[in-house]
This record gives sequence, structure tokens and C-alpha cells, in this order.
Amino acid sequence: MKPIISKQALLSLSLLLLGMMLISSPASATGPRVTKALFAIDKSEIHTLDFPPYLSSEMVDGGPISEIVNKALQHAGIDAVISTHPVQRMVKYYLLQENALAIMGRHLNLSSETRKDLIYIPVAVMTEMFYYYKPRYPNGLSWSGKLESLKGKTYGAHKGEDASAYQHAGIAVKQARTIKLLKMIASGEVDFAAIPPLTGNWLLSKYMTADKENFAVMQRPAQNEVFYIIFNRKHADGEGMAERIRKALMKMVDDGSYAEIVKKHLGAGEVINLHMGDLKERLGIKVK
Amino acid sequence: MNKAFVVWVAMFSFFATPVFAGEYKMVKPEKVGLSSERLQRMDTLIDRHIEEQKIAGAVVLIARKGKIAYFKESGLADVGKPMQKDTIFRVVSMTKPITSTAIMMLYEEGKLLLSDPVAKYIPEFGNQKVLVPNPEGSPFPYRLEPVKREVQVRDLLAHTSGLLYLFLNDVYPDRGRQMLVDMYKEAGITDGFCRPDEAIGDMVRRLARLPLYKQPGELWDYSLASDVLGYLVEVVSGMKFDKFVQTRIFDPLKMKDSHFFIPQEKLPRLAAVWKSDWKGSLVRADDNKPIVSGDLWLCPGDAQMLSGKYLAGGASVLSTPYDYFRFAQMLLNGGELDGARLLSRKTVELMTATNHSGRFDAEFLHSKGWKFGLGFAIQQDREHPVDSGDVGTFEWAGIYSTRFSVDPKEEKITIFMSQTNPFGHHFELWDKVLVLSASAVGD
Repeated sequence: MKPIISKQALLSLSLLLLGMMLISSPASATGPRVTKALFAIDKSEIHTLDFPPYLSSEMVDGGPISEIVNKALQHAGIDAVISTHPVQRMVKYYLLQENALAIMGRHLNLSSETRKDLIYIPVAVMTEMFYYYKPRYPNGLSWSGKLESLKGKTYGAHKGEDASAYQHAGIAVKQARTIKLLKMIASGEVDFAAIPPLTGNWLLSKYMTADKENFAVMQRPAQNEVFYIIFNRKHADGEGMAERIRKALMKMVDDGSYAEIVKKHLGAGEVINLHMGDLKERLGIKVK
Repeated sequence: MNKAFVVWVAMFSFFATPVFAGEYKMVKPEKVGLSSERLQRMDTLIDRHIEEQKIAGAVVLIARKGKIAYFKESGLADVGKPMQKDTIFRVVSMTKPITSTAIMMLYEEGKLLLSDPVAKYIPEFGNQKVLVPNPEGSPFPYRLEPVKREVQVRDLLAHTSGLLYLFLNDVYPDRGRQMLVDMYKEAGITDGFCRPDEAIGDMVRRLARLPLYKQPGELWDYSLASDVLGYLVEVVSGMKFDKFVQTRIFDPLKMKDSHFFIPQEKLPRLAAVWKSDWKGSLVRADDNKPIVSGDLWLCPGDAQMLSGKYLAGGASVLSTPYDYFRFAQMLLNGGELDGARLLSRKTVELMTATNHSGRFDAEFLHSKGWKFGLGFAIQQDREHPVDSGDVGTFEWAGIYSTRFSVDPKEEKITIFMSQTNPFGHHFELWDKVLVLSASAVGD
């Protein structure tokens, strides 16, 4: 009987199969493995603290500040990524110990010596309001614009916030992260804390839903806080990039793309002015 | 009718048919090779602890060859409320084997591999750093070093991930641990023994962005890893963790009294927590006040919450001795109970293998000679000071004093449940319970 496959063909087929076995990559039951390279960051990093809803991985495009800064980086031709951390001390670690290109935030409590090496570029202006707990103050709580009018009360300061003005006014100070401050207001450990309303309301909705309606804000704004991107002169590119990002932000304010991003995240109307404030003037100062 | 025949039938019925304690099907201990007489020693042991006011009450269940042979409730569940067989307990860390089972079910479905980096499913686990303390007096207290390899699913199951529990800061004092625990606190990370008002995923995503204590795979450290696994179940299955456990584990195993949040009608069955100094001072804990000891925070009253967001895979389950027996029997049977197969025999063998934690011993609950598998500690050998059980015995415990032990060689399950704080006093009692259970084997 004539064989169906010749000896030579059988040998060729065997060699082909052997080759396929040797050369082919192993199959993966759950798709391609995630290698470290996929997450490795070759770009410069800008470190910041979670600051919802402005800066948070939970928000679309990381929140408005994240999107504004990313757009500005893009316009400035800077290849850098924003890393958000859950604790302030990690932000400071990367700045002070690893000479990161830049950090972002407020209430950073950096020493005057450290500040000499930093270039502050304003990104947004935040109007903060004093939050208090209505059941504790059924008739409301207000202040005259002078902190002395709140003398004897306890102020809840953010970690790293300079609260010396409160102490000078005879107000006791306790420090905590923002969500903890809101819980301390509810429990009576502190009487009030200055928080941007969007952040306060976001945190109350997410973590203290049942108690949200018991919170109120004093009518008069507490203060205006500027949110900065802070470049590091110790980083080889720090100074040059600071000037480039300043110009990029200026351009975004001028051409309306800054306002568009705020509008996309926070809505139209007064909220835009609230977050831009005197940003144009502040950005007008060239980096020295 | 012949009188002798009637007596014979009566005797046959007594020995051959199950004994019912309430609605629970039980057998005479001798039927499964246990000694009734020796099991009475368990009564004496528990009663003595109650008389000495070390504990308020307890339930002990011993089953062999799939049958419950000893099931005894003693003392009080709450002030003026006797302990019952169906009293509901906070089993806390005995949640972990349930969570591990959920993960292994997904593993069996090909949804994940033990060797997968966790970052594949929870991207925040990518690019992690390890906190390394600098020498004392250095300008900055620590440095962050990149991980040599990423945390894998297996690391979470075997507690070799480099994550921590805050409360162990008091047990293992160490500079690096203290620095990291401070970071955990600043980031609002808790052990989950009090139920935070946030979703488990929010906590896990924050935790993943904090440094690790040690390189993955280079330390056995009991930790929040099971809480991460609970969230991983959500990510991989697309179901809320409690719903997954309810429909895929509790319902098939007919664990009717096991819950993440107690139904209102079962509140009267929830045991109170008692504070004991082990010297005769026994006080019912205040449900409205946390029990705080160093970095350990317990909130017994949180078990009364009827609903909530926080589903801790390491801590949240409430259960009964009978329900937990059914879960343990499923494992002892190689993954199946009463026709409901949750896992294959091979997977249970994998979970109870002793080589997952490498050279590290699971010393937190035990001493040397115990390893950690994929969800529980396993007795590896008899070369170390081990009081009872056989090689291959697997078990774990809960911080309000609950413990389970499965001895595959003897086909025996022992469950002890009390609700007493602090748990540190209980190691001796638990070990004695297991010794009495082992020494009741009479065949």
C-alpha cells in the first residue's frame, strides 16, 4: 500500500512542527501579562495630593486642575505626568529627596530655605468658606471678617496649613485631613474649618451623605487660596519648564480654553470667575 | 408485639438515626469515632471559664466525617440573654478564608491567575515603592525604593504582599512600620474593624498608592491584603463583593445566617462583646464606644448596622458556628457540600499547601511549624511546639475570639465562638479547645 505522506514530507512536517514548538510564545490563560514596563514612568513627574473634585483619579480627566495642567504641559511641550498621592508627606518626599520636576498643591508648609529653590506658578484661585455644624449652632455662625470675632472657638486646619493667624486671634487650632476635619466638625472637636465649597460638598456627599444637610457655610468667604504648580530649581529642567508652563497657562486664560475646562467640570457662570479670580494678573509675573 | 423487638427497634433508632438539637442534625459522638465521655471535658473547660468570669459565653461545635457530634452553647450571649446555638457572632478575620474562596472560584473560572500582578486589575498597584528607613539622624527619615517585582494575587492570599495591618504596630514595634502606619493614618486607612463610611474600593485605591513595608514575597505579614482581595472580587466579577459572596458562597452552602450586614429581624440574635481582664472582671462592651488599644480600633456596635458601603474581605462577616461549619465542611470535602461544588479538590489542595509563604512561618496566631496557604494557616510539621492536630490541619481565628480548625486526616472540624476582648488572652483557651477536640478521637 502506498503511504499517504512520503517519508520526506513527514520529515519536513516534523521539522516544521518542532520549529513551531520551539519558536512560538507560550499561551496565556488571561491574556497578555502586564509587565512592569507598562506602568513604568520614563517621564518627569509632578507630584500632588488628592484634592477632589479638582484633582483626583476618581474624576473625569483627573478633575479640572489636572486637565488644565495637562493641557498646559502639552502646549508647553513638556513630557511629564501628574502623580496624585493620598498623603502630603509623599509629595514633599519626592520634592525634597528625589528632586522631582514639580509638585502641586497648597498648605505645603515648606521652609523658607526650601522655598528659595522653588518657582511658584499659580494654577487656580480657590475661595474657601468656613464650614460649621448647624445642630451645634442652630442660630447660625458668622464672622465679621476679623478672626477675633471667632475667638474662643476651635479651628480645624488642614495638614501643613499656616494657622498662626487663628492662634493670634485666640482661636484654638487642631489639624487633620479635610474629610477628618468635617467629621471633627460634626463631633464637636472643632467648630469650623476653611474648605473650598466644591471640595466640602463633594466630600460630604461621598462620605457623610446622611449628615450633609447639617453642615452650613458662613456667609462671608474665609479666604482666597492660590493653588500652585511649584517647579524645582534643583531639577535640571525646573526653571525653563516653569517659564514655559506660565506662558502656556497665560495663553489658555487668554484664548478661553482655561474657562472651557472649568466649565466642563464645574459648570458655567460665576464658578468660572471664582476659580480664575486674579489669575491673569498673577500669571503675568515672569519667572525670575 | 414482641417486647424484645420493640426494645431492639428503640435502641437501633437511638444509635442509627441522627440526634436533633433544635433544628440541627447531630449524631452520637461514638457514631463518628469520638468519645462522648471525653467530649464532656469540653463542657468542663468552657463552664470553668464562664464561672471564673473570663468569658461570658461560648458555642463549641465539633464535627467528624461530616456529622456534628458535639454542639454546645454555654453562658450568656448578652446581658440577660443566654447563648444559643444560633447566636450570631462577629467572625472578623474568619471572613478571610471566605474571601480567599471567592478569589479561588474566579481563578477556577479562568478570570485571574495567582501569578497575575494585582495592578492588572487595580492599576493603582502599579509602580509601587517600598519604604526603607534611613539610619537614625539622617536628614530625611526614609527613602522609597521601587519594588523588585509587583504584588501578585498570590501575595495577597498568602500575606506576603508587603501591606500592613495598623494594629500589629503594637505587636511588632519597628521604625519603618511606625512610619508607614503614620502614613496609613494620614491617608485615612483603617483596619476595617470599625466600618468606615466609604466603599472598599476607595480605601484600596488609596492604600495601593502608599509605600509597601517590604518587598513583595520577602516577608509574611498579616495585613489588609484580604480587604484588597474583596475589592479584587468586585473588579474581576463585576459584582459587589457582598452580593458575590451571598449568591456564590452563602446561598449554595445554605449559610442562612451569614451576612455582611445583619438583617433587622436577626438583631436580637447578635452576641454582645465582653471586655475581660481574664482575672474575673467581665464587662459588657458599650456598643456606642470604640474599644481602643494602641493602634487597634474595634467597634462592636458597628455589627448592628443594617446597611453600609464598606465590605471588608478581611473583617466584615457575621456568622454562626453552624454556618461556619458548613463552610469548613465544604473545604474538608474538597470544595463540595451537599451537591454544591464551589471549588475543585485540586484547588483546595492548592489553598492548603504549605509552600506559598516560602521560608516564612505564620507566627501571628501560632508559633513555628505553621505556614500560611491561600487563606489560612496550615500545620506543616510536628517538629515544633504544637499542641494538637495533625500535619495538614488548617485554621484561622477572629479578633473577638472565634476560631475554626479543620483536621483533614481525622476528617474533623472544630469551631469555637465567643465575643470577648482582648483576644490576646484567648490563645490558651483556643488551644485547649483544640486539644480536647483532638483527644476525643476514640477510634
